[in-house]
Amino acid sequence: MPSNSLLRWSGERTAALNEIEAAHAEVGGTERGRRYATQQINRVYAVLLSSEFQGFGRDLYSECVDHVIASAPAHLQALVRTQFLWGQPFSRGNPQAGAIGSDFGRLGLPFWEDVYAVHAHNRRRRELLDELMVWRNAIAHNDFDPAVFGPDPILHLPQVRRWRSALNGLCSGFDRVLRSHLTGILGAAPWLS
Amino acid sequence: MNKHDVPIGATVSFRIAGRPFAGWVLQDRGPIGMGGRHLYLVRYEVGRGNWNSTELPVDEIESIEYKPMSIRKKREVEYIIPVKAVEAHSLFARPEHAQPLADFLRSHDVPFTEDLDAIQGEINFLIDKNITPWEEFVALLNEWKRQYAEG
Repeated sequence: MPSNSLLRWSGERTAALNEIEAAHAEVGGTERGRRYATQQINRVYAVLLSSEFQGFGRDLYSECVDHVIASAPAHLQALVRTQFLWGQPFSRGNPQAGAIGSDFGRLGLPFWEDVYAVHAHNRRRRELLDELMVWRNAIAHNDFDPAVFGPDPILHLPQVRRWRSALNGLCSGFDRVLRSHLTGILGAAPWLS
Repeated sequence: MNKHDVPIGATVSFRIAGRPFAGWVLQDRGPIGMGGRHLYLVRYEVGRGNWNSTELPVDEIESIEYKPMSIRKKREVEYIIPVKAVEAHSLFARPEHAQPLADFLRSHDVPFTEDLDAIQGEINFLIDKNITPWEEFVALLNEWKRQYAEG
């Protein structure tokens, strides 16, 4: 079994994203209004995707910390845990690649280098994550820089699906990288592959 | 205790480095811990005004105290939200809530001023951001809401 966090990603988090897919399918018709409605759904979809991915990262970080702490002396466990959680990793800002690398880096690994090493597609997946973040911020702040998005920024469903597929791959990659890292420092696999 | 029977809003006691602390449960993070155990996000005060949060599994919690909240009273004060304004931390409260909230803030030595007729009869509290940090302000407001809902 993979990490509890990856199970949650492929379970309830996937279900939440599927609800948006279903909402998109529900908006029928061919008139102009449909295009506007689906555009708003696509934007909501992108923001929700970013949010669920951030939730996954937060879960996985907490899960890893829970495993690391179990190897510390009992009277120090709560103290060590507060240090790992200091500054609320994965709760500030957006799940930008840099922030993810920095937060998981607290566990003592060059995070993105290890992620790139486990799958040839992961460098491209990170680029797609960066792209999603640019859209997510523009949507959340209603600030579409014409130099970046052009005069009429349209977000298409296939684009959001491409991001989602990339994040699916990254989630599996994160799970593998952290499993391997924790196995190295704890001497036993925290979860199965 | 069973593995996931800590209610949201419960007051819990636990130890960090041997010292006892009390806090309250903000969130059940779900079965994401080792072996699928639930982790709970707990907010606590480390000395007056220093708020921190951590996650705890149930076996690190020494005691749980929970008074069921009145859903009606909880909803009644949901409209009171903290605002990070430029000049001061701020909130708006109706007169019936403003008085107990003001008493609570005074009991915690939080200096503030009140604009008695700010928007449609709501009272605007302005909290000096140089004296009361944002995190402390938010934590105190949440604590007051919890106490209010517990009735």
